[in-house]
Amino acid sequence: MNERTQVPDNLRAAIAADLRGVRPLPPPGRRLVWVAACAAALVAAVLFFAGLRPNGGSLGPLLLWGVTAVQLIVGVALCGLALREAVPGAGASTSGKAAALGAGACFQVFASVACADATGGSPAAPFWQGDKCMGLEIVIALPALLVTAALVARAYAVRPEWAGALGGVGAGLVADAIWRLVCPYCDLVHLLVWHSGAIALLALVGLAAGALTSWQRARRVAH
Amino acid sequence: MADREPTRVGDLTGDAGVTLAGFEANSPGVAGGAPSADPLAEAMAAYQRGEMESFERLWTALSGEVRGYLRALSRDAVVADDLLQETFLQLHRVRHTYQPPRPVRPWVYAIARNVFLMHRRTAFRRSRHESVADDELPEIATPASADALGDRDAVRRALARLSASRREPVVLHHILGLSFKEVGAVLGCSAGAAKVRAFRGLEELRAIMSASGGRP
Repeated sequence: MNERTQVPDNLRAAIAADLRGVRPLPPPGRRLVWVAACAAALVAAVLFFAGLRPNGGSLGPLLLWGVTAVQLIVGVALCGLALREAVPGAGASTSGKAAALGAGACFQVFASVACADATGGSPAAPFWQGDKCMGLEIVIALPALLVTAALVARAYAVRPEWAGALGGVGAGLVADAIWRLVCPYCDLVHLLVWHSGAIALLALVGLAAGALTSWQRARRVAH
Repeated sequence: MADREPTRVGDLTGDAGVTLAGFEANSPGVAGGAPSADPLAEAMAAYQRGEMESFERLWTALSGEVRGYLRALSRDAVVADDLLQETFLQLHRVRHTYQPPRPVRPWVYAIARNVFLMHRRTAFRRSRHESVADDELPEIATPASADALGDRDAVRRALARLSASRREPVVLHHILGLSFKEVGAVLGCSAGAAKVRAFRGLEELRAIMSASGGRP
């Protein structure tokens, strides 16, 4: 065995000092169950504490429950992509991830337009009261975001910015799907600015967390 | 063209007279077709159970090619050696993220690439102003069998002059023997995109070699 094929002494010592059995990470699908369970618990909790919107009948079951269900699935799927991204060599292609984010954004716009169209934009909220919706959506998104972030952090995302953005948008869509069942306002400006704004903000938070992870990693490599 | 078959430049360019047969993968478990059980995956599973000998087996099997890959990325032998150790340290820290029986090499190369990118980020200011003169091009690892090309130095120089985005898929597929699907997994693109980038890299490689008088 020549010098090049032998493990360097300092590396061998570092490995030996920390060598113990580890359990392989479960597949992303199995880890996604945690996010899905979190989303289901959030639906139940929000409906229990806030109740269903009083004008739900004007939307009809398809726009109320159908759109919410699809949006929940899209949100959880984006969180699943974030979990996949956290396993080296297993992430989706960049174009695939961009398409998934675009699809999530398009669905959000579609759901907002469909809701406003079905009700004629009524009732409308005073513009500046929308910040309450945004704040509550972010609060609702936090558990899903934290569960996703914890699962991503337990792995090793080679592109943490992508993982963060996907997790942020996914958690935001889950929260918006749930808050859609409660918020009585249907005007397009309210839905696009405050509801979609919350999702965009969560995406930025995820992106920033990913960038911070990258920065910390770069510092560690430099040292 | 089958994904794992030894690649010939002629296969991709229509020029049957040019071959990259010497660029077949030289690592166990790749050359000569896919084996029934991946010894690297077995070693990795044993390493996850805490066996030091398995780490040594992984090092023996992978360190040479990962060093070559890092050298191709960094174009600096000393930096590549440093990054190789950092890659294996990182691999140790995140060994739980390997999911048997997935292929080990895309997982390792993805980590190596990330370590390189993190290094490049910190050295960005310095590297941005770096320019490499033709007569002091750094050494890029080429397998011994690359002699089949006739002028190994010309291949090495041409590889060093390829743009980074073209060089990487060429090195990963044609030198290290990863399938296009695995190259895509490492680079974060689809298998089709990896194939296109490798094809364009080969075209650029041929053009450079033709222009510099080396055999294309």
